[in-house]
Amino acid sequence: MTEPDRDGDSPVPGVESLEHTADVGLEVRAPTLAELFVRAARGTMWLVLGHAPREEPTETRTLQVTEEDLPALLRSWLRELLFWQETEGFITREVSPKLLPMPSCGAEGGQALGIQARVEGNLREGPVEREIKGVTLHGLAVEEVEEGWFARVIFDV
Amino acid sequence: MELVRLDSHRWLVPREGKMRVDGLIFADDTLMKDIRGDEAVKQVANVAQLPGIVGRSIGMPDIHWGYGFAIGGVAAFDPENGGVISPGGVGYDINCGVRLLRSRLTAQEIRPRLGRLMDELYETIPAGVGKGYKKFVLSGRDIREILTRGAAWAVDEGFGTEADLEHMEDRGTIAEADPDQVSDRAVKRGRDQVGTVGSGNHFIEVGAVDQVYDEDAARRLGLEQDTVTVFIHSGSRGLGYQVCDDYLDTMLRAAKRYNIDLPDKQLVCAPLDSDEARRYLGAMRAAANYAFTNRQMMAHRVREAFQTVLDRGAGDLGMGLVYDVAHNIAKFEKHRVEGRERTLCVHRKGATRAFPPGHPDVSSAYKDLGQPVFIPGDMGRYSYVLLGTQGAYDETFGSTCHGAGRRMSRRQAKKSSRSRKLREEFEEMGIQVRASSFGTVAEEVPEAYKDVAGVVDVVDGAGIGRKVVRLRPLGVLKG
Repeated sequence: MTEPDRDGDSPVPGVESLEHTADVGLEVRAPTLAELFVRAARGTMWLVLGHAPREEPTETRTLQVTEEDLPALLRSWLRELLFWQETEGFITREVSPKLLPMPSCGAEGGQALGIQARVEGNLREGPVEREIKGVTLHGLAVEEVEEGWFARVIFDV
Repeated sequence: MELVRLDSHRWLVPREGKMRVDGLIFADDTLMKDIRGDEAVKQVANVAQLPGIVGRSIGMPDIHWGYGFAIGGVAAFDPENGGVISPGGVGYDINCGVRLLRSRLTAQEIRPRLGRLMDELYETIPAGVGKGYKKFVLSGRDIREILTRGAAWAVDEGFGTEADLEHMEDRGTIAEADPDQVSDRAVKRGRDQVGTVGSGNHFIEVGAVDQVYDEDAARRLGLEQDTVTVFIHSGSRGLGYQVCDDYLDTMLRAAKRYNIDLPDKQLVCAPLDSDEARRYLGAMRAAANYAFTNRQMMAHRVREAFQTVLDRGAGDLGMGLVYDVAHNIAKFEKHRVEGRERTLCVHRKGATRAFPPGHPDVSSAYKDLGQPVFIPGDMGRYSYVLLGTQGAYDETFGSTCHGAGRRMSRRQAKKSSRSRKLREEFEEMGIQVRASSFGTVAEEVPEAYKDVAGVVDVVDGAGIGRKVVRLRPLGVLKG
């Protein structure tokens, strides 16, 4: 994995873009897991728009996602937000996620992880800069580190 | 990772560790310096670990780091020997591909109206992020027909002619597509995107033939010196992206179920004889048909734009289709391996089919020539038209490269473009650019790409494609 570009272009605290020949990625750092998901969402919208959202939220939605592990949860979280963006033009501005244990959907039982979130945004941001085809599995990571939490995600563009 | 140079165009990635076969990368010394600069070589080696792989894991000279499979990678798998199918070996943009239109126009004729022509193309063909055809509403039945029949549907609806289908890979319809394997989410993403360019490295390019390497072949393709051409580079848009996404999840579970050891999670796959593979193949083929339809619709609009601006009829303009070819796809094909003909599942991710003269799948118009191949370069320099060869069929499962290959990240490209007036720069080069976002243009500046001439010279030198003409850009529409 190449070193991240640390020239500080991202307006989202703890979020840096990741150099990749053909695609784009983010590295996200946060003191808590919930904040990691907040910053990942805001960083993704920054990549899509080319800037931080400028319009105040006019709409509130709820989003619930469940997965078997944290990297999958992050991927699904971002995929849902991007689906709204692509199909409706809904730009996420603020999110308030709660991370919860969920009953596993696997045949073996056990526990899965879920996010329930209030998502505030709007449909009026105007033209976006970048089309994200998908949230890839490549290099996908969510890890607890000394300073809190770290995530890496690469998007196919 | 140690590479062994075989000759001036070939490098062996020797089998080691869990690799089941060697890797083979086509490159000269200059290109190999770039190739070694990212993880593409490692990705060639990773693919060589997958079950049922035959021959070699191949890298084209435009190879660069993707996810799982490198972009510019080719690999074939034997269904009778545990071979697998991997959505990452096709890519998110299923049947991203290129078509080339020719004309009876010359560059000199078109120059006085080029600006207006580019304006008309920009106004009539949605290009850019989120640009859909809101006015063109498809019913559920239409979508189903598109996914099943591809470009044939478009021709029946009046967007083109039977002659177009005769000049397309698989006549613009991949058989055994299964719309029922395409999720509602995928349909929703793609519903109003048929006939749209998309963004990123997708484009429509008006160009002209500026160098002819094979006069006879050029004449047969209708690509004589100064002939005006139009490239259309696009794929399956949001529908295809979602199909890939959906089946990455399916294959992630499948890989666990079938105990497939993955060196990279993005190489998730399933045995070709599994239910998961059957479902993905059905969906992938449906998405591929969507992409053929997409390019067919855009070609129709291009023809209309030329007629409007130049005030000439279709017959007079002669904008026939040279060919349409995929460069992100997996197909079952017959190939000879170790002296025996076998049906293999060939994955081409950022690689183009390049079948030789005489192959039964080559269009009848080109049976004695070989299949046309298009290698677009960057938006400032040139592109190439080649023909498929026996060499490609023998060595690369009938495959060749697909483009120039990036050498700079998007961020680096944007940095190098900062404070430059790109539109004016291109106009000084004689190229009219129209784009919904010049941010995208900044990421696609010529220096972000390898020189496609070097890539094509390796292909030609190695015998996995032969040059016919070079095209130079006159006008580019980007998303």
